[in-house]
Amino acid sequence: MSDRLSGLVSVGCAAFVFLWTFRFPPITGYALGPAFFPRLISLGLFLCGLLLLARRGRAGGDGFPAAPRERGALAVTIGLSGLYLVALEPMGFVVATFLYVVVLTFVMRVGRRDWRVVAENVAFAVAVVAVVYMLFRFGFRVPLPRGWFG
Amino acid sequence: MSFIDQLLTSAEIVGSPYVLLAVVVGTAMGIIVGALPGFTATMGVAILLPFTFATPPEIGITLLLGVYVGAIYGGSISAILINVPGTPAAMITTIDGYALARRGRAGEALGVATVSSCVGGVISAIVLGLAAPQIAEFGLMFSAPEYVGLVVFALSVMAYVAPDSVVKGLVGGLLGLLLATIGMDPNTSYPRFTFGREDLLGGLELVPVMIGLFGFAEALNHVAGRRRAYAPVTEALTNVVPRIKTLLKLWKVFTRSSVIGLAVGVMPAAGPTIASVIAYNEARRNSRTPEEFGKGAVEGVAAPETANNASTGGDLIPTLALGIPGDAVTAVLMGAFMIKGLIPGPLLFRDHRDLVYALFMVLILANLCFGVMGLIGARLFSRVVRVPRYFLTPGVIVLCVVGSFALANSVFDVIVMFMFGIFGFILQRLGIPAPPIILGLILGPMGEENLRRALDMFEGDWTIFVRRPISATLLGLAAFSMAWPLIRGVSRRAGLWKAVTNLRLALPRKARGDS
Repeated sequence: MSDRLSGLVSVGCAAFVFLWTFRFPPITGYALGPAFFPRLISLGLFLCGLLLLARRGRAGGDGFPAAPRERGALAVTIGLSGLYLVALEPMGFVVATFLYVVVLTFVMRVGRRDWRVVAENVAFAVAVVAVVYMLFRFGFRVPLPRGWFG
Repeated sequence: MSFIDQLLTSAEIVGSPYVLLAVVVGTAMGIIVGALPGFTATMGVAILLPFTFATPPEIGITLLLGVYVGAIYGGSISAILINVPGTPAAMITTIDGYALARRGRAGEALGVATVSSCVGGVISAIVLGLAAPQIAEFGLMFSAPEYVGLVVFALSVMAYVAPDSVVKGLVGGLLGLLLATIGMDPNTSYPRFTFGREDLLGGLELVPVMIGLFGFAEALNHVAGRRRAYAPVTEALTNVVPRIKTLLKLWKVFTRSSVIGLAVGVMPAAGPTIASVIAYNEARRNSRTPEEFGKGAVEGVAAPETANNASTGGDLIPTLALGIPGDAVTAVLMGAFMIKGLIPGPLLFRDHRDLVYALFMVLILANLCFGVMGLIGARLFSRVVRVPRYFLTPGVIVLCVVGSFALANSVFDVIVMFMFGIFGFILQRLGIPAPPIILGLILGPMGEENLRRALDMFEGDWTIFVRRPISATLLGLAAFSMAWPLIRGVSRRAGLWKAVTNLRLALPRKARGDS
């Protein structure tokens, strides 16, 4: 499964790059144009993809998580992280990071869920925000997005 | 300038209080990263890279070298205390290290691991300092066709980090080369694959891609991975500082494992993990009490720990002298050098000789530094392994986000990091490893420029690459390394290479090449 899929990804990617390079302007004379190198590499990628498609009965890689809980955790983490990126500029680093860390630790922490767990998560989020903010703002002088405090 | 003058000039750089502070801080951070299960040296270097943006090269690179060697050592702490290697390189240390810990000798095991790592690391740093300049001298003879050969060779050997097939490693390298073509074409300034986005005109930034592939993707792996129940050793650590008698008995193990570590490290695509497996097997074979191995033999901790740290200097030889990193962490380190305006390769030794020698000294210092810290702070570092993952993973993701933002204060870089994190996670699940992608991205511009220059110079004559001895040799080696799986398949059927096959089987799929 993983071989066929990676083969397909390689062939697809190679085909896309190869065809896209025909939009590049041609060059006359000995000088090689901008399309030369991407085309060469995409040919190599295409061949590797065919080799992978030709192999049979071998699975590689770690495979995708099968258990519903793992899949759920993965989807939630990616979704939350995406939201965090979107919220980073408008909300500002402090608020967005605090909310993100509190929610993600809560989601990742399976089992016991009571007020102590929430308090620990909140304390951890405050610590992360404080340390990273101080370090980047005052240590490295990188202005982090201010958002609501702007 | 005589050699002694050279050393004195470099020693002046190292003697600066900021550089010394960077050694201490970098090494301490490295030990912590290494001791945390699931956090590799590669990830540590990638996510700590943004912390060095504002610093001059000698301080920034020092910090990252400290992280690198500290992390390779730090892996032994969790290997011994909770039977989970902190980094893949410490995998073999779990066998006898944890067995010793279960017998109430955790402190002793930690002490031996610390001294062994220190000995291996210092020896390899000295050899690096002596050998790398000579090899770089040889590299000065390279022109366009040789550089093309070098890029092809580097990618062909890096392909071996793929867990199950070299073809997938090559796919990674080729994808990296394609990603390197994003942005303006160097010769004609035509924007390639930018899809109208101005942010992409200058090409993909290396830092967010590296943080995504090695930081965010690993964090996603933590989320998606199955939880293992740890059985931590909870007794107090005693006898951490080893007795002189114990160390004297180990001198043969130290020597042999250092040589193995160095030799394996120099070989492309074979890093500390493989070095530690070979050193462990050799120690058992040469031991008077081989039956003790697996039940808590001190040599069983000393051998892999000496070898994995000895391979760090070995790994850095081709990285610095020729610009061919042998594994993931050296590829990321090479990226860090480039961000600081230092291009690893022969010219680095010509143009920045003072700095390069200073970095060799830094490496020796960093190895000594973790030795001292490990012996004094064993108790402190042993607490790190108990930090729960539900706190670590969100913390790492926040560092990935802030780190990629800090590069140019742009959310676009954070989006690149995020996309490459997901991309890297998917590819890894398909068996396509991340290190060749980074190597392709780093070497792409050099490969393309030299290929086009060579063909322009020789009027489109492709035979130039096989008519010049060095490029022909490099391409021949590349062809051999790509054909090796086929050769091995045939020879396996003939019953040869059994030892090699056994060694490969002894390694978990994920461990090979990643440190």
